[in-house]
Amino acid sequence: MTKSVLVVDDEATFSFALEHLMKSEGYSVETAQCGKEAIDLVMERHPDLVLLDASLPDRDGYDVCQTIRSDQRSQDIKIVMMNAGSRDIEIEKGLSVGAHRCLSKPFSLQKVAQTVEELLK
Amino acid sequence: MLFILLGTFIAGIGAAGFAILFYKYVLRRPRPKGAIPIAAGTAMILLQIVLDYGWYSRATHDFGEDVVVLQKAQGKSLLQPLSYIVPRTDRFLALDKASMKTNDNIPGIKLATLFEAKKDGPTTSIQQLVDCTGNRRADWTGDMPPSTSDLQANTTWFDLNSEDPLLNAVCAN
Repeated sequence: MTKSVLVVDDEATFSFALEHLMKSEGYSVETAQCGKEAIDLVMERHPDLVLLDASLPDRDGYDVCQTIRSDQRSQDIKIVMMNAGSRDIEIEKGLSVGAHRCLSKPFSLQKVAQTVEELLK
Repeated sequence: MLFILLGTFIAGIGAAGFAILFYKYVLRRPRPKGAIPIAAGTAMILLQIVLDYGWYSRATHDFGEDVVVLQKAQGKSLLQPLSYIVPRTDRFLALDKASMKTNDNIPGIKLATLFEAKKDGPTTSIQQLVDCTGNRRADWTGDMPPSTSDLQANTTWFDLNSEDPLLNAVCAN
């Protein structure tokens, strides 16, 4: 069965590139541009993995991650946080709110593909 | 778009509030009639300029080394006279090297995906077959062609200059 990925990022070009990459890797993909839309889609569609930007226009990405983690219906969903910086504190923060991996922007699309494959295999 | 609109209103309201406080507590004199609309309008226009001119850097900031910008296009608008004085990137074409494909049966040919990003429109993708030995490209849809004969039957090639950024980026290694 095709695995599904939800891409959450408000930067349209970057989100499009991630969506294209995930589709080319054979995943079914949904996108969201803000935290509320992301949580609604997670509860409605229950994707296998969420690529979640740490900085969203309406809510903090860490807060969205915590919301997904704290709900029993979505506890098993894998989450990859995409942080704006490479500081350890941001990576630790992502992992502490329940993300499985943290990627520091800017990063290569190849690295995203590898991370998603590792988590969904 | 909604967040930009809300941000613009908030900037206008904030600047108006600042003008009121500035006249009341710093200048300590009556506020001219036009002070509030001028402050609000200036803040809204400035925010719009910052957002317009920062679009390209925001759009490309998150990409790593496997996304290469091949071409940038500048936009001009009569409603934004500054765009005639200071060039502003409104569109760009980028190559996604991560999804580039090859096929051992057709050496020298690579299938590349390009992103065409626009400031005021959706990003789209275009697939191009690039012949690294023949310096040419062709539009393509679907997966990498399986064989040379399939390639010859379905392809219209366009010659590329040896300095062409697409050719150089796709065939670099």
